[in-house]
Amino acid sequence: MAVEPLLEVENLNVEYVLTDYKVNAVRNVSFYMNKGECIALVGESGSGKSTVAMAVMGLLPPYAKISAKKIIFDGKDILNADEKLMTEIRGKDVTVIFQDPISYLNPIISVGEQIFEALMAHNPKITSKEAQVQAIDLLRKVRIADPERVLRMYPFQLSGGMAQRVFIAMAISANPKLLIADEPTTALDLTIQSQILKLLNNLRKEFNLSIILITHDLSLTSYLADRIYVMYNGQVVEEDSVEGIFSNPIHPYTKMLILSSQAIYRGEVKRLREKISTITEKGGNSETIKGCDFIRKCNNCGPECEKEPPLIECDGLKKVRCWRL
Amino acid sequence: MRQTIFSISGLKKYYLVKTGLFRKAYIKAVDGVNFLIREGETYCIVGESGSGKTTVTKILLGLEQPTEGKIEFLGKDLNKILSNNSSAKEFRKNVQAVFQDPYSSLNPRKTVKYILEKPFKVHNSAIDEKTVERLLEEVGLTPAKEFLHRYVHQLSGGQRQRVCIARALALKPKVVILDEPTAALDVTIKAQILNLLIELKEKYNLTYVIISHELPLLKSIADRVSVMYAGKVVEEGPAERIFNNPKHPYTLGLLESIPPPDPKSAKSKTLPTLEGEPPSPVNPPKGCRFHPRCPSRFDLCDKLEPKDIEVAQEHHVSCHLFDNR
Repeated sequence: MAVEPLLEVENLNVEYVLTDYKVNAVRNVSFYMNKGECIALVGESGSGKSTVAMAVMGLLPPYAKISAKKIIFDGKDILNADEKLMTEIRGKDVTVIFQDPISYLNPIISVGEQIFEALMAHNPKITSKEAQVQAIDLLRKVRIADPERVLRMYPFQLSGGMAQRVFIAMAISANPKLLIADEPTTALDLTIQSQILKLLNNLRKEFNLSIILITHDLSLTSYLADRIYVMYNGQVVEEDSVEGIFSNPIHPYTKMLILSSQAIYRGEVKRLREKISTITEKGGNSETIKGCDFIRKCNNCGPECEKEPPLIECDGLKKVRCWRL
Repeated sequence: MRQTIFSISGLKKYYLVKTGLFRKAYIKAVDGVNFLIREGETYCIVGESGSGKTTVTKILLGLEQPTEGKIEFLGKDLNKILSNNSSAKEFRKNVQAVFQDPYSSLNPRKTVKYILEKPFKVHNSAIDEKTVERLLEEVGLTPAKEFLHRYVHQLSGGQRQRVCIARALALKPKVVILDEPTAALDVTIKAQILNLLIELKEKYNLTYVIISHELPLLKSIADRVSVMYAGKVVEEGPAERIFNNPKHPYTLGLLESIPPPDPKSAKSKTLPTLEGEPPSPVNPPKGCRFHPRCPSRFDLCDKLEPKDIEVAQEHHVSCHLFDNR
């Protein structure tokens, strides 16, 4: 299959302007993805990974100031798009699923009606009979065993895993090109997490769906993602293929992430301390730090780190924001 | 032989729910479990949401009355301890808790100093600033002076959890009960908090009871593990045996569904999953409660409830597969 670009974002900046101060939530983030690809934005809370995705969707609150060189989705410029075009793209071509599906479902409307609503939003002429058939079909696609019964249920009657499946069904109801999965399994149990991950992977293959996976958990990416963007404090600090990130992490933050998740997985947290020497937990905001964002945590700093490092291209797909390669 | 801290036998907790005007049903949150928690060990209770693990914590803390069963703390009946004011106070001093969400378990209108002084005031112990500073240093919040006058919203998630741990340790308890202590934290912070817990335990010879659904985390810290499913303990044993030589099909499935943080591992490509969802606690399946999801079930499983079988020293499984008779 020929590689076709789907999304291209260049130099995205998002600033939250509050009454007495500003927060640079996202700084100079560039990324791209091809059709059918799954990329992962990985980082801790506050790293700006969700803000990036919401900026692409045009779903940020009014006090967020977005600037970018370009945002191209499927050949359309969506940076300067008017609300009409965005409404068309949102929910149809690009959909989102969130961490906590139950709170995004309306508690007093049955599951069926909420799915019908999603179907009707993009196809106003649909009859209720057709909607019913399509809704059942959608629930089958997300591997819900008895769709007729689930249609009549209310969100509080669903388990977390079921609610996420219903949510995914609504998200794929308009055959989107891009699915943004924002921490899709964080609230779920282990066995349900692996079911949902598998479901996403199957949908991806079946419908040639492209996925942006937003997560703080690197171990999810090794199953689902093709490429990873590691974010720290609003910037991309390292990008590479999944294999490249795991086998050859270069940025100290990426190294820390991988060491931590592997130590937890293997049950070797005790020995982790020797491997990473972190000085303090994250403190202060970005304005107070000069130069590299990681300067206060890094134990391999040099005088050049006082200046902000650019994203430096390395072998293959790898790019790293660090002076000391 | 080490001293027994908690001895729990035949513990049941049913919650009454009204399903109709005159119809009643019971949620069988915990349905007949036994635990023996010894001094100086880290006892972990693992299970998915709804398995009853948090109910066990609440009962251990004396926050809920069990429907049935006997609980002894240091050889004395817990009910008797709690019925007398002075012994109840002594019990609370010795048994402290740390909860999942540090934000909602700290008072947002008080400073760190106030929060940490409170336990001393409640128990009429002498307190000065030095003691509070030492507590903060103990949990790695240095320089302590900087944190004394901060409010909860001025702390990061990891720092908040450290304050919760400091508060739990303030009165030098015997036992700390930790309910999902790292579930709300980022991976790197998880590892740090885990490390802190290990350090503190060694330093003060604490006994931990850790409740968690994050099985991999416990690998680093657990001495003994109990796996709960739908209100019952399905497997209990030394941590090393549970992780390396699990017997019950549920434990096996749980361990298998942890995605490894390594794209090269074969498991990360296939990601084995346990199908289905945990049963309703109102109407659990007959026989073995796990049988509808069990990959190795046979004709006995839906008829007869499995007995507790000792497969090795201190390693118990309740599964028909291991019943030789």
